[in-house]
Amino acid sequence: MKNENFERYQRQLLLKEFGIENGSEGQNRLLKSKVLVCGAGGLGSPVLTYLAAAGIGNIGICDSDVLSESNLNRQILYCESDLGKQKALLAKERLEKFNSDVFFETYCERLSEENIESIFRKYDIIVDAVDNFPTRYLINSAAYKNGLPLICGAVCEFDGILTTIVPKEKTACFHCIYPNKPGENITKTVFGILGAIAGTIGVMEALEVIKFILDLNCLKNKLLVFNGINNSFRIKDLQKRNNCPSCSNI
Amino acid sequence: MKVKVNGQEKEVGQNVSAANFLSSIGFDKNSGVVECNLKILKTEELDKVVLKDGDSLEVLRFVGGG
Repeated sequence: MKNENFERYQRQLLLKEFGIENGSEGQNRLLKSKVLVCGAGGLGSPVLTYLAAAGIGNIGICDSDVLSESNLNRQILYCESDLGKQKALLAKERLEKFNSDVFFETYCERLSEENIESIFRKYDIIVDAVDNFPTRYLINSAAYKNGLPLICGAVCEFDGILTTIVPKEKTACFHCIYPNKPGENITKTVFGILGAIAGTIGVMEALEVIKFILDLNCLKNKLLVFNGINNSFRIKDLQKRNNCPSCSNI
Repeated sequence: MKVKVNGQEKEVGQNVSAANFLSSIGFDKNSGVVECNLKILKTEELDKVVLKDGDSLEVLRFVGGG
């Protein structure tokens, strides 16, 4: 780590996991990491902000959408004057001002079977912060196939879920959590989302990324289930499924 | 008799199907995944499975937004 960066990260360098005691090894690991955030919306906004704040050295931002007014209740990276502009580009512009140590690359395209592997190949860790089930199954399969750790968070109404999937350790994947894919009653319904619920899970996704890089206790084979109405956080054990179409033959 | 739902004990009457029980706790059987004693139950199986004392259910709704 360069000396001029010391002050910026001073408060987290006080944490022994980062840290001054081991010659800033933890912080150096963050600065050398390459993390792709899929989705720059309600989850992606806090994920990107806290990854940039922590000093992740290389962050990819993937989102094909332009900003609309109905995004603004939860997508806290953006302003009213940004309406109609490409979200990935807006996020890059904002976050570069926030932390110039970080290199940002943008992908203003929808992830598909055709482009996903060439994008994923450039990164060490993938974050799933997208807003729909088909893309989640796609991201999960591609990450598992390419041996990339995947931090997966999702929200719906007052509920949120979060898990960390590590293919090299053969942990349970997103398809193991939801082996029966949701029907159209789910995929075609626009559910309510409160900004603070997406914010809670998004911040925790960023924390999982940081903990994974620092070899700290992550949610491997565990699903955190959050309910914002009951103020409950429950951790459910997960099991890799022998017949899982996404991970059982890898 | 008693069953566990997401780790919490609940009282259930005799000869109650998983579908009827889930309905009684406000869970739409098409809105997520149901496990009984670690085995995933398909939606069409929920009417046929009759709960027994000590069964452990895990109910997880589909959460996929962002």
